Amino acid sequence: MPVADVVLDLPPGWSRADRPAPGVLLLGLEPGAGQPFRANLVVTADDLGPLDLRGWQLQTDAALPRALEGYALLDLEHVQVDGRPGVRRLASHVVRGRAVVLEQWAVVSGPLGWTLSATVPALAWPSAETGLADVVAGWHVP
Amino acid sequence: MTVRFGDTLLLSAQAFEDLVSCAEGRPATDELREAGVVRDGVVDPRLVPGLRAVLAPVAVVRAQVRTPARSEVVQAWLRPEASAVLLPRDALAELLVLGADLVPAVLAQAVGLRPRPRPELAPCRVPLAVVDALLDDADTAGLVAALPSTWAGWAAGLSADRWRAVAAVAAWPGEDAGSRALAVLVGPRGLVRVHPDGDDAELRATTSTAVFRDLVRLLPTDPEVEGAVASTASGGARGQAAAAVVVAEG
Repeated sequence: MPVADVVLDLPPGWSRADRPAPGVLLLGLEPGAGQPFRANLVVTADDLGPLDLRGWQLQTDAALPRALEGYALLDLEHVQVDGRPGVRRLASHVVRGRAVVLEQWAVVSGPLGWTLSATVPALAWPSAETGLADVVAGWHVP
Repeated sequence: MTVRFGDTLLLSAQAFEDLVSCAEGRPATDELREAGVVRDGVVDPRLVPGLRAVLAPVAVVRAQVRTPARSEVVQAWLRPEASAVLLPRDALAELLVLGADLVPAVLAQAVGLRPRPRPELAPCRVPLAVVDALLDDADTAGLVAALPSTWAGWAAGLSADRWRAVAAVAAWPGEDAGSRALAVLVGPRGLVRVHPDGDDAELRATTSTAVFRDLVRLLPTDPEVEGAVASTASGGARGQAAAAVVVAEG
């Protein structure tokens, strides 16, 4: 199924790659090549088949601990994403021995489940939080 | 047996003190040698970076976790290259050697942070003494009596012994010595942050996100510990700081 390009304003200075890999519609990277871990934003869209938002997110909750090392779900709340009912998730996990925070927003539009995932070094997350909220506020889901 | 060493190290409080003494150059106890923590007079290399943090921390975090049944203390000693965390495990404690960036997640686990209800409660003030009674003696009666009627639903978790209280403090020595503290009450109806204010405490309903943010911010920033790094270069700062956390369990 053709999927429209992602309409999203990244934080100032971030690089952007559209469709950099199969299944990934957008990859945003914070500046600072050479850093051990760079904060990033990833947008994906999944064909949900018969699943609704709740069923999809239950599946996601089951999959993330298997996919991410040291995964711990910290918070989960219902939010509005681009005017639609969605979910916001906060979790911690480990990437190459470094603690990172995953903040993720998910919303259903038509047959697709859209996910915006921000992964930030754990100690930098509080200072990045407002900027991430601004990005989500400007996300127009097709 | 008070020392168990394999993929993880579990040890008693006394054995931990013995291990720290050994890291300072004193002879190892039979117990540490028999468990393989010390071989041929040398501490296992996996533990050395953490013990260096214990002996010369740039910051120390101490979190008291109180439940109706028990009181436990989580301790962390931070250094830029590696940190040590002593995590209660039943009658023993697990010594973790990890990066300082992993400490907030360990604290979040100790606090029992997870998705919880988001109570819509107006802030209220209670005598600080009733919060201390909860932390020190698991005495919930004073706090339950002091809460306004609008908090009755949340307070029911205290009366039902379904709570946890966490009080955490991070402190760092040096020219710019400082500290930050955090106290949280957790019940089946959600999280409440405790803000001491003179003889009173203001209680504010909060979220797991906000508490995790504050746990990360509890740790000193790089500029804050620059002086501490210098001051611990030639000596220890162990025990110069303390921390405590309180959580109520759903």
